[in-house]
Amino acid sequence: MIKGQRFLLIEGEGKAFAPLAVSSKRLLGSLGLEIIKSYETHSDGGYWGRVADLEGFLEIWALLFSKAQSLGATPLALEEDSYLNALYAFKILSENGSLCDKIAHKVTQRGGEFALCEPLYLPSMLFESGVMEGKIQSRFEEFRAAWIGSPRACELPSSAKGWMMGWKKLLGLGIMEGFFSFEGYAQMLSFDPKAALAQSARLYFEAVDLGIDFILTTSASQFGMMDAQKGAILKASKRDRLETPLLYPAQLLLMALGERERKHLGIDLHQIKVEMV
Amino acid sequence: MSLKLQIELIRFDSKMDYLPYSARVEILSTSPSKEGLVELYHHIKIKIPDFGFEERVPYCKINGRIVYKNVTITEIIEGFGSSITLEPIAPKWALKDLIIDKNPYVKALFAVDEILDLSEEDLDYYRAMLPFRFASSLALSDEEYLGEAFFLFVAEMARRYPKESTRLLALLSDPQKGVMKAIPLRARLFPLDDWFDVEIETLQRKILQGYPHQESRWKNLRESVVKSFGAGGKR
Repeated sequence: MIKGQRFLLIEGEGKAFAPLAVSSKRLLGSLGLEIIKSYETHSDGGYWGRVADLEGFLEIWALLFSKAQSLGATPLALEEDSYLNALYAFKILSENGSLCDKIAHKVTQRGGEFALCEPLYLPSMLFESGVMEGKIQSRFEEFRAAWIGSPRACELPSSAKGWMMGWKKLLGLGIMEGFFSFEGYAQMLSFDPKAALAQSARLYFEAVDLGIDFILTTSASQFGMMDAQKGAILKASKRDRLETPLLYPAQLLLMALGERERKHLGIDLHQIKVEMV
Repeated sequence: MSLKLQIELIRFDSKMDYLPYSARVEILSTSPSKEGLVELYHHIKIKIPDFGFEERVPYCKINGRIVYKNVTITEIIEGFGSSITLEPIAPKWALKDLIIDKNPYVKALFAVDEILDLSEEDLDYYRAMLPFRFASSLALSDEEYLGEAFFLFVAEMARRYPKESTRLLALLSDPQKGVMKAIPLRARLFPLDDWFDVEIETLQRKILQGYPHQESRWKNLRESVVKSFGAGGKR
């Protein structure tokens, strides 16, 4: 699956995505995987993108799939929000022939050659390929984390869920999940920011109050609400302190490979300080 | 085949108790694939004679997930294992064990009542949506939020009474308490079903696309989202 495979990274923008991009590229490079990172693509509008203008949303993803195909690469999502959107688009384009034809025509009009290729999800791909085996230098047996995923994580196919059990075994990390793992309120930010912050603060402390060392998040929108808006979350929570950091899986895996350089891990970009033990 | 089920029952009597408490009970079902929630409650009642439940409204929470329709004891054990926590769908409104005060839920109908002359069949549909009233954290923590049950009910009424659909859907578009705040329920429901989430997304799509009133706030949100298509640059 991995040998000779090239990956076209599905990247996002902004403060929340930056640490993930830095650490994921470093991780994939450390594992000797070939990535293509110079592709110019466009925003899909997130969840509201698919709701507001389905055809526009599909066109954005069709362009990315087509580009990946033309480069002989596989689209690789680094986090759940973009993976779920990519998968949603892939599923509709695969199953709805007339809509697919319409979108394919638009891609052709823009000078591309339409092709569909199934996106992959970084944590699943790394787990299923076995590429990490024998390379782990540090385990996390003394640590406990709570997982906070995308609010749409319940849409993940079962094939994209197995990695967490595998990682628990591979890294020795205790990962707790609860209903908070499947909630998220970033989509409210544009029309009710007060509620979006209050609900995100509630979610953050539901996880933190379990007595964890860090939050393992697979969602850039959750990272954006909790880490990138640390001050606003603290204010909304009415707590005195907010110290428990969030980590992306790629950062954790990179640490497991022995990486300690804060810049390489992307943790220098976090608002909630990550203390290395 | 007989099956045993260990139950931690969250009990509360609004006339006597200050706080909820738990009671442990074990039941043995001799035909678990045929016995459903009501039969399960009768098993409990044999052990705890003053256990409170309603046969007509058998919904409950098992291990925190809303059981929104009748399921067999076999399905419960397959879904949760043989040791479960059983509690009312809305602990805050509990009157006696699984029995909850439905008045606040019924009162929320007044807005629809002003638009439609609801039939008994419509009211039955509203009653069937009751478990979804408390399915999301938002519904439990935000008093203003109208809740998924109301959204699902209005969506169905808009189908049944298309002439009134504009007025009905206008009830859902408020940014503070309306359907645009809803997030997927699937992880909180038993058994799993995405029908509810699909219905909610359809409502959000209608509002964002200008139905029913081309509200400027939603029109602006849609325009800014669509404008962001293709505005990304290098990723």
